[in-house]
Amino acid sequence: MKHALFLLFTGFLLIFLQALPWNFLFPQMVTLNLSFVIVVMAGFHGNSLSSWLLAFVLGYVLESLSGSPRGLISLTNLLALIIIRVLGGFILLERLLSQVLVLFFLCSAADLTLLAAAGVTAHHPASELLADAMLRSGIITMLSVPLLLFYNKTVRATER
Amino acid sequence: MYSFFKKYQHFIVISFFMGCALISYSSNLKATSDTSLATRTVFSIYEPPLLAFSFLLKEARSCWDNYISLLRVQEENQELRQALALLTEQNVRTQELALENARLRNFLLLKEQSPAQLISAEIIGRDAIGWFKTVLINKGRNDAIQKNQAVITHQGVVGRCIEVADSTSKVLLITDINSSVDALVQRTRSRGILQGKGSALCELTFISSADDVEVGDLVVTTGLCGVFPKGLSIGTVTKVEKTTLGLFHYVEVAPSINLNKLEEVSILLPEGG
Repeated sequence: MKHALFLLFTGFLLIFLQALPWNFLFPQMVTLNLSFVIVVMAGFHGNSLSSWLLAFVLGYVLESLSGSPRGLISLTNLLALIIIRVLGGFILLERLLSQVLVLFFLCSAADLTLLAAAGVTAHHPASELLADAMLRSGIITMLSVPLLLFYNKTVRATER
Repeated sequence: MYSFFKKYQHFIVISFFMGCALISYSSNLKATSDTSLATRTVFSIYEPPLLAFSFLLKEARSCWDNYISLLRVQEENQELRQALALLTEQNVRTQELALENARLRNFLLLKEQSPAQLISAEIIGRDAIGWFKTVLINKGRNDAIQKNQAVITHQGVVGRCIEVADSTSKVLLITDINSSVDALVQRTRSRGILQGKGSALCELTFISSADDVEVGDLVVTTGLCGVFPKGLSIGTVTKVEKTTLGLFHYVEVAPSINLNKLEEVSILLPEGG
């Protein structure tokens, strides 16, 4: 329960940071979907029920503060959790390297899903969008490594 | 019953949340008149800290502009003086045209359009995802803001309100992929639909291959879609790919406003409201 609340609070805080008008200071700044990392982390470690609820709630809050169609990001988050559950049967998700690779893959897939559902793919070349999505996913993955390390240690300490 | 739930709890929980997400997504296809209670709650929770931080960010930018970034000020001053002189001359000519227009309208007994009422608002947040182009403003239902009202600045069209809570609203920018504005090329009066591309530019679609469009042409609103009044500046044509075989040209338009640097906007109230 404590872990779920911590992840939920961190998710709300990251969404708040994403929604700030940083363009007042940095006009060309790109927005990164850091709250997706929280959903993935909940999938790695969280209790089943709370992780689904967390994914849905964070998705809804993000949709409210963006131009995304209602339900799309919640759906993407829930699908990400399903993929993590399936992958958990084949690879060891407790290791940091596996987590980083899965996070990168899921971030790219989530971005491309959003772009396709929003219809952006009809106006831009697929290669350009793929490169953009992978670049953002790479940056998100790099930024989340400390958080993954910290959370892994916290969870293992709790389990002991 | 309990044992059934316990046995299939994962499946039931997953199905429940997936069902909620799918219902939300499919209900999005129908146009709804009101912003949902949950969305209004999210806006109410995030508005105060967003207001506070956007104020801090603006002050930081102001500090940078006024005290640190003073390079090129003299050169910029000179350029601005020259531009001002040119604009003053154009303004005089425009005033003459306006007076002549008024005389001709009176002559033809055409009804004068009353000046629209404007409400100023500040940008307090931007799209939290980045792939979409929306902003949050600090005015809402309590300030007589309604859904689908036009949002503009003195430079031109910004977008329209798509969701309205009590004291916050979400504005869809003209560069968003879901935005469509009825527009025309000012010089040739060719009509088309200005659609956002999800980037900094827009596309003016349905410009017939028989119509004349050139780079540098000004694009303005037609006033026919019911959201934007006639004659508001939208942007300038930056690219034209003319076709001899197809039905329509490909026309790219750069908005007249730098939407990345937007800080304040005005919402156009309907006449009588």
